[in-house]
Amino acid sequence: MDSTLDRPLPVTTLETEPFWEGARAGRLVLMRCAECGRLAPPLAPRCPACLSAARAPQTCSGRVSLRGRTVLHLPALPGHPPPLVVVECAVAEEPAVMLVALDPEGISERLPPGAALRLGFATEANGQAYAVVAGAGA
Amino acid sequence: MSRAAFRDVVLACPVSVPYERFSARGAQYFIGTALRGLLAEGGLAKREVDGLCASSFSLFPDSGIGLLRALGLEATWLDTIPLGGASGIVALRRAARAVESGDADIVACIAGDTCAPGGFREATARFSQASQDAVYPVGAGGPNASFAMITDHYMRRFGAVAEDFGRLCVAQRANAGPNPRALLRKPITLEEYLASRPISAPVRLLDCVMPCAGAEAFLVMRREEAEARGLPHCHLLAATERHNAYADDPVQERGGWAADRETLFAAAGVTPAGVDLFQSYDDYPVISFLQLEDLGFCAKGEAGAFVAAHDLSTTGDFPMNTGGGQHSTGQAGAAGGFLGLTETLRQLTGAAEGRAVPGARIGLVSGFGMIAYDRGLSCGAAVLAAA
Ligand SMILES: [Zn+2]
Repeated sequence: MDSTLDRPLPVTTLETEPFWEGARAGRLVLMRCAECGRLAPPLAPRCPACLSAARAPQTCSGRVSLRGRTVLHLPALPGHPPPLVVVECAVAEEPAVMLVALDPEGISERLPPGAALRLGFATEANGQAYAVVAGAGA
Repeated sequence: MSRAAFRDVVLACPVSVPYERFSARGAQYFIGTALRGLLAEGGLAKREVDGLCASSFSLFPDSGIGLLRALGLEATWLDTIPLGGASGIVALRRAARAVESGDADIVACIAGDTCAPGGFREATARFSQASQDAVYPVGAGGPNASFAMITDHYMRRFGAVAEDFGRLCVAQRANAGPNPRALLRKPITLEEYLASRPISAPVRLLDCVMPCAGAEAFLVMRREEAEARGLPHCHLLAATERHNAYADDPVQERGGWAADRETLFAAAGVTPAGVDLFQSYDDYPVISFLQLEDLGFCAKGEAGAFVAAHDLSTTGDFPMNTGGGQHSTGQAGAAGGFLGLTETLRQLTGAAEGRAVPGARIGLVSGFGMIAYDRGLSCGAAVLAAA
């Protein structure tokens, strides 16, 4: 049995293209609603607040705050041996928007909930971008 | 009439297809075995079942209509409920409205799944496109990682410690002792719980439900139908479902039950104090904690103290997960969401051999499903009463 099953890759749609394009360039890009002004989670197909499709991409600062944390002890990802630190963090520009990221350095272990982190992106060998966090000063 | 109330709808013929840790058979086999069990239990000819409500993860890409064809069943009413652990409660609600309205007379509600070695990983890897997209590549931790996020949040927010969750796991395993259907019947101690290896910290091995193959099923019909056939049955007093509740909570610390419990208990005409036995959806102990709180048995954050202060055994002051729950029986995919219903039906019809709750009249069953990375999206609950 392959202990690190290949995962299906996210499917990019017209709606999510700005997010993935930004991610490949290392930037957090979210869509801001032109009608109600809300910033939407990465893969929302329309504005989840008012359902408008009139949205424009906005490059966010990458400032996030730590909300949750787990340490995976089972092999979960090809190329990422356990233990793997996974964090959940809230985006500074819109705290209701949460992202899950890898914490490759394990820096979150010493940090209290709400601590400031910097969110960026790394890229798998297959070109798939994924979120990572580093210290706020990074 | 309250949206939670039902008129003269009953459940009958609890069927549990024996669980297997792994199986090379397909989901249709287990669902078909359950149907055969329902017919035998009810003394029914196949043509007398005119409705089917099915739930399964591993049935995909086959559908409900494919099941009818595979099982040679003709129906005037067909539904499939793809809501994971909430499927049992939701299937019951759908079937109840169908027989209440006369769209069907006898509905077979069946959930069944197979479990190939490695199949659980595969199933969770493809569990939800939206979820896995949002978390790539991190969703690879599957449900363990998601429940770890919820557990981590609960512990920090309410000061819960590992022992709080451990006591529930120990009590449930003790309840499984007399249940011949449970795959895990050997008692565990709190020390063993605490020493079990980390899976996705703070979730330990003994927090995790064990995937397996199997099926659970029951029939839904009008009371007069069950009475005319002489079938032991219990009444559906009330049931609610709520999806995507509290979407703005940063990490889940309550479920849709909290929004519905007054409606539920009012429609049932009972209070939490009047509940004789409770079956929570127990894939991970933190989720049982949310249900104890949101269904009104204790205040938010106090489930750990509640569990410590009560005897959860069948002869205790708060019989809970009386057959050991999924935590002991194993989780046969979507059947995990039906287990509380078949167990309660057995308890309320005097069929819970060796583990009967004495004098049980009112049972509460809860369902929970569709985990996204930091929350479950579907919640439901039902109040059942002995006939
Ligand atoms: Zn909007």
